[in-house]
Amino acid sequence: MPLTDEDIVRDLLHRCTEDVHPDGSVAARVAQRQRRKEIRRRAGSAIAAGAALGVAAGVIIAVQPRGGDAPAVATGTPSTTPKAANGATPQATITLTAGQRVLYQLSAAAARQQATTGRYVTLYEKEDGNLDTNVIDTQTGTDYGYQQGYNGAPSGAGTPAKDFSPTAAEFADMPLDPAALRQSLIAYYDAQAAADAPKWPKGSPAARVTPRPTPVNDIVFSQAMSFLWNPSTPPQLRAALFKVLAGMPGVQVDASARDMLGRAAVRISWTASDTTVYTVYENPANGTVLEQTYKWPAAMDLAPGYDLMLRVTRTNTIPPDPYKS
Amino acid sequence: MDKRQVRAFEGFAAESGAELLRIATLLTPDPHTAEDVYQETLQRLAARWSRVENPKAFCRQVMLNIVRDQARAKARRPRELELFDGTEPGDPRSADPHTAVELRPSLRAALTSLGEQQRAVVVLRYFDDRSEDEVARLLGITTGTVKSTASRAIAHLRAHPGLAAIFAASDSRL
Repeated sequence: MPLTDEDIVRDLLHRCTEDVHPDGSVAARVAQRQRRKEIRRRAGSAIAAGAALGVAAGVIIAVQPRGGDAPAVATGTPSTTPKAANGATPQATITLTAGQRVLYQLSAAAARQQATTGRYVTLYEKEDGNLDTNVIDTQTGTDYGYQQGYNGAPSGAGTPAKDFSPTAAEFADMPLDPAALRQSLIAYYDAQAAADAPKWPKGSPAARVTPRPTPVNDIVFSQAMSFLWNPSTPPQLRAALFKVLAGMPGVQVDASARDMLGRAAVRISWTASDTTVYTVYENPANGTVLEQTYKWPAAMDLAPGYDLMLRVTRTNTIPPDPYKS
Repeated sequence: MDKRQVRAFEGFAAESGAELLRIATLLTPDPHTAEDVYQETLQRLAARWSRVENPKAFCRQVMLNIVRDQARAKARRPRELELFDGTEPGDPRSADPHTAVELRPSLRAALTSLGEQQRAVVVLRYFDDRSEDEVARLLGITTGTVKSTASRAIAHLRAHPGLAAIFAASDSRL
C-alpha cells in the first residue's frame, strides 16, 4: 500500500524522537520542589486565605489551642524558682535553657536590624544544586520564581505564584507577641488547609476519608521556617518568630554550626511527627537565614533537599530573569 | 503533595515522560528548550496534581501554552543569531536515512521553517495522533483551519530541501 505524505511525516516524527528519553531524576526534583513550595505557600498565602475567611489578626489570639497543643515549653524546660524565703511574695525567675538563650540572642540580633525598602525583594539561592531566584512583590505577594534550567539551560519566564507571600501591609498587621504569633501561625495554616482541601464529589470514597490532623508543633515550626526563609519578612517579625521557636519543646539548637558554605551559623532543627527533619541555619549576627534543609521521610523516597541563600536585594523595579541567555 | 501523591506523580512521569519530552522536542527549536519546557510542564502539573483529572491532557495543553508564550516573547525580542543552523551532518540521502540522529537536524530545520500554528498542528495531528477536532479544541481554532493548516504544512515539509529526498524516494517506490 503506497505511503501518503501524512504517513511519511508521521513516520519521520516518530523515528526522529525515538531515542529521546527524559532524565529520570527530573520528576523527583520537581516533586521535591513542589513539596517545599507548598510548605512555603501555606505560610504565605494563608494570610490572604485567613483574611478571606474573616480571620482578622486581632481575633486570632482568641483561637482555642487545638488538642495536643503544648505551647510554652522549649529546648529543655525553663525552671521557675521561688526566690524569697523571708515570707515576701516570691519573685519568679525564669532560667532559660542554653538553646533558648541562643534563640533569644538571635531574636535580639534580628530586632536590631533596620527594615529595608524597595517594592521587589530578590532572593538568590541555590536549590538542590540549581541556581534559583525568587522575586517577591511586597505589594501584591506575588512570587516570580526563576530557576536555572535543566542541564544549565536558560530557565525561560518564571511562573508567577499569586498570594505566595504576605504583602508588606499584611506583615505589618501580624502580632509580635510570641503567644499571639504562635496562634496566628496555626490559624493561618488551618485557613489555608481548608482553602486547599480537594473538593471531592459527594459520596465518592475520597470524600469519606478524614485526613489525619497535623500536630500543632509541626505546623508552627514549618510555618515559622517558611517565614524565616521569606526575604520580605520584616526584622521585628523575624525576632518574634525566634521567640516562638524558643517556646517549643523538641526544637534542637546548635550555636556553633556552619552552613554548606562554611559560614558561622545557628542551626535550628525540628523532627516532625512524619519523621521529616526541618533544619534552618541562621546568621547569628542578624538573624537572617543562610540555609534550610529538608530530610523527607524514608517512605517518600525523595533525596534530601537544601536551599542555600546567596544574596538578597531590594529594588523598586522588577529584576529580569537572571538566567536568561 | 503527600507521599501517595508524590508516588503517583513520579509514576505518571515515568510512564508518560518520554512521550511528553518528544512532543516538546518537536514543538521547540532545540533540545535545551525542549527539556526546559518539559520540566516547566511537570512543575505546573505538580502544582495542580490533586485537581487534575487527566494529567496527559493537562500536560499537552500546558506545553502548547508554554511554547506559544515563548514564541511570542521571542518575537518581541531582537532576532538572535543561531550558533549553527541545524542542518549540519545527517544528510538523509547518505548512508542509512532511517536513524534518528541523522534525520533529526533535517527534520528540525524543516519544522522550524513552519509557522508556530502549523508546527503545533503537525505535531499534534501526526505525532500525538490527536483527531482534527481535538487539535482544533487544543489550539482554539476551527476544524476547517486544522485541515487547511495541516495540508499546507505537509506541502511545505515536502518541499523543504532537507526532506525532499525522503518524499522523492517514497514517490519513486510507488
